[in-house]
Amino acid sequence: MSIFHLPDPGEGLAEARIVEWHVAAGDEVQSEQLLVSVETAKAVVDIPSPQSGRIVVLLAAVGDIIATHAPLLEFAGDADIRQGPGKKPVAAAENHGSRRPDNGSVVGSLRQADTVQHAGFIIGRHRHTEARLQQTTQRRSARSRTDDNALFTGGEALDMTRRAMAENLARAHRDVVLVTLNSEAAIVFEDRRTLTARLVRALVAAARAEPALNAWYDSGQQKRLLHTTVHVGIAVDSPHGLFVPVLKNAEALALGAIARQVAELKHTVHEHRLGADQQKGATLTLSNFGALAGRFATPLVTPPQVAILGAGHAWDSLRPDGDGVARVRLLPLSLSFDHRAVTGGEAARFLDALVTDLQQPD
Amino acid sequence: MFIHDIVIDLPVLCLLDPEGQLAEQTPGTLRDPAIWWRAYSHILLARRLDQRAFHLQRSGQIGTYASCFGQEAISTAIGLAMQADDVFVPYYRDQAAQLLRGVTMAEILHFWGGDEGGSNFSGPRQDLPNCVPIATQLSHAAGVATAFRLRQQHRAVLATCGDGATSRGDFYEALNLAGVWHLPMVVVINNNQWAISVPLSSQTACKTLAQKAAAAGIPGLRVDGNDVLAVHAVVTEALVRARAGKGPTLIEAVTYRLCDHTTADDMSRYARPEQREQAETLEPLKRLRLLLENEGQWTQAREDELEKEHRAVIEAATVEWRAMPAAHPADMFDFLHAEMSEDLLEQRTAFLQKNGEPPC
Amino acid sequence: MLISVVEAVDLALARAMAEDDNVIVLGEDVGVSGGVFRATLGLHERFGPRRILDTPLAENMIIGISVGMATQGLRPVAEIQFFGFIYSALEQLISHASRMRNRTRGRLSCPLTVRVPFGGGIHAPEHHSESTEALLTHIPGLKVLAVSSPQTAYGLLLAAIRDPDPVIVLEPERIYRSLKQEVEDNGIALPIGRCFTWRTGDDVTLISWGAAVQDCLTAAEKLAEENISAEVIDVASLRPLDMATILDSVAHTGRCVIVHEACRTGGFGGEIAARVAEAAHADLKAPLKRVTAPDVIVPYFQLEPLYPPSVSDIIAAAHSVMAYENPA
Repeated sequence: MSIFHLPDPGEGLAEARIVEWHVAAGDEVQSEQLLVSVETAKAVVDIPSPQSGRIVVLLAAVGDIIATHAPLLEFAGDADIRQGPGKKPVAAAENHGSRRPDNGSVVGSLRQADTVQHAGFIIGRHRHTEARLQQTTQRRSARSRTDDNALFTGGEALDMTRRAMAENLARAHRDVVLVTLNSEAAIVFEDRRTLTARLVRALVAAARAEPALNAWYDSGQQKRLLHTTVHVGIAVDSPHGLFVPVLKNAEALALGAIARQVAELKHTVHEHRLGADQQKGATLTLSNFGALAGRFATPLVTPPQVAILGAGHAWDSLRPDGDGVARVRLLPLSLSFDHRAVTGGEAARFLDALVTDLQQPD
Repeated sequence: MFIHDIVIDLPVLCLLDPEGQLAEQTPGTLRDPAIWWRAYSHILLARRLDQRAFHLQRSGQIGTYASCFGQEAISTAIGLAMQADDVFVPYYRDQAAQLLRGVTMAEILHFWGGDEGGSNFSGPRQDLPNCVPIATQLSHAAGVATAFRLRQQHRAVLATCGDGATSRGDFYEALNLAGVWHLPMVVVINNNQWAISVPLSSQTACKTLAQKAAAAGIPGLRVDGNDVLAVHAVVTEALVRARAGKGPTLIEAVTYRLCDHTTADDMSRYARPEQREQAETLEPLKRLRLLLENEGQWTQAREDELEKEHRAVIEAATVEWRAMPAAHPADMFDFLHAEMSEDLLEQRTAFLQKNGEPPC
Repeated sequence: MLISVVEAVDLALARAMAEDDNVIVLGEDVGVSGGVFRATLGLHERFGPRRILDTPLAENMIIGISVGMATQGLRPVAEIQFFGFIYSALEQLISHASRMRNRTRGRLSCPLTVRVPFGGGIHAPEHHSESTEALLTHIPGLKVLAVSSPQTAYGLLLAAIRDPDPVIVLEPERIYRSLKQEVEDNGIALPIGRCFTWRTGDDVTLISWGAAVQDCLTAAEKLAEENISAEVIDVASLRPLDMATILDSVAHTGRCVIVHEACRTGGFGGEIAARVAEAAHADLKAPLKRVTAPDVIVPYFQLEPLYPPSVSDIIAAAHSVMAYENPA
């Protein structure tokens, strides 16, 4: 048996009333022969036969209101009548004289309204609402990878420079066997501005006297490299963070040239333009923290270097001078060294030469 | 037995023959020596500018250039016949017409020199710029004509195209529309026999191009493109009809391309030299000169004065062009939209920085 | 009033034409017949044959003359009957409409609007169900908008007509009549270059345009039943694109699913995906996902239902990004 169902008349019309049957049970009909007229909310529609065949029985009566896709009649045989969603029968031909409802489309059929939306929508960015902004920020920070190990909630992620400092110094602290030797130099040079340059020159002199501190040490390979050149890493504090630009070949430069290069490097740091290659290759490091404040310190050595000189804030003192006292300007010095690679004696000799040079008038 | 060839015979109108003789039917308005001198002088000027442009290209100062050598009569006639409030829609070989429309020589050099600023005409503000995609300008012309019609303005559009353009869709589509909407539009085909290397005989089976007007149901006619007076006569008549609401006209001006397609082309690869030699005897300036001589209007002194004047004008224009400010990288961004989107502004800023320009 | 997309289009056109005499509607069958989708119903009666032009059958010419008209200061609103027939007009759109302002350095401009039904889902004949809008989103100088509802149809079309540059308005055939919204004929245009958020959510961002927005909303409803809160963003303005709203949403939810009916490769979803990856990599809890039609020609209507992404495809994609475990 094959059932012919009421086709979808289009325009989302859901039901129709049988107006008139043009065939009866037992009739032999031809394909496209008029079967029945039905009335929808819009118009009377004539339904043609989808195939040739014998009608077994009509399944709706005149006056019945049936839903779209409800059974209309039964054909004899097992012919497969292609119907169903997406398998609509071909539209009634014009020459059958049927009046098709205006579908408002020359092609296909438009689904009629089955939803009414009352929704509005937000135009553009909507994180400007406080609540939403807070939510987003919370959700973002909660998304951090070390979520489970967080020691506290909130706070800000470290920028790259701080992150590097934290990682590098943690490693240095872990590996280096640090000893700090302190002393003071009685400085007589007048020009305070050339202090850093004098310190660099003093390091050169000290390195010449005791090369063991101007070296690189590899604890893994258990080897060290003594340098003849002196490349001084100069710690510079800036609004962007701590940077250590390297003044190359300090042993070949006169004091004036050293001063100029120091100034240039500081300038580059403050302009945030320091390149990676300008931060590499230091054989010794100088931290003139005294420019800000502080006297003695325990500066950290950063491998592969083996020494770092910290210079504190110069201060005026008195010292015995014969029977009386004399004024003296003292520059506190903290020389840290890696005792895995440098002996106490080597460090002391280095410091001595350093102090001697600093105590020169010019 | 049912199918026959369609035979369309369209004569080529000529008023001034190659020997400089005027036909009897030449209207009185065109028997005026002032007009002959005007046309002669302008064709010569256009030709001299064309030569200057050619040299500039060969010396690397401007880019690929399309010469109009030998075809100046068509453009000159168009420029003389059009009114100020008509709109001109050229393809890319109408320097002579553009000059008469008020486009400056410096603007012409600026355009071919590679700067879109050359299309920002100071003179004819509504004329369309040169158009490279073949025949597409004809649809634009139909649109302009539609605007005239909708607003009921007594203005006309004149569009030009080459013989190759008549093979393209836009040609048929625009003419068809012009016909069915009765548009105030005149299309002048510069039939110079060549579409780059493709001769007319390979372009179409039509014996004439003007007959394509029949497909659009509009009048079409042929005119001698080397005869500035005849072209002027038919263009003027077509424009008057258009402005009076009598609809469009298709004019086929028959001439010969005495130059390469552009400076990037080499015609000797595909054209026979005898054809060119023959065509040179028919070129527009010769017959005008003969006319002027025959009528006692030409003197060496006048000729020399003309040359001096032309050289001065072209020189001044070249100087003016060279003094024009160079294109700015920001120009690539600033004229895409009336208002720049944020996205584009970001790109513009980054782009200018990358190119070492201050973000102006 | 409660109206459908096609009625909203008609309303917006009438409003624009009443406001400005320079607005001219043109296209095939738009006049006497009111348009094959009845989108221009009543305009011919109201405004007459000088304002609504029934053109001959030539899409390239329709856009070509619109360019010419626009240079004369008219504001043509051209209808291309179906996106599948826009291809011959691409030359006029790309070579001329998009460039007229640029290549005359502002002397001439092209305030042209092109309205075009796109996408499938109405059992149409071949070539009537195209969504190759990515061809247009690539073109500098063009603006491309996609309607998703009666409200956005009204507001975006008004914006397009008032815009001084060429704007293409894509109208999804599938929802022309199938949903109604309250739309007030107040003449207020929506901004071009802004996304619209139809539903806020916290867990996953669903990004789409056209009829697919409705599918995303349906999917969001279903996801809510499983306690997955989806935010639904209607791109609306494909070009110029509002990445700020999209990035804000991705920052909020951390999960991004892009849905479009167009086929995958070269589809505009790729552009959005690239920009999200460039700017919001750190915000993503899971790799972003695209839900699209496969890389095939739109099938004729027997197979057509299988072609566009379905609501369950969208839900599956949302499940997938929710379930993603970062191996790190």
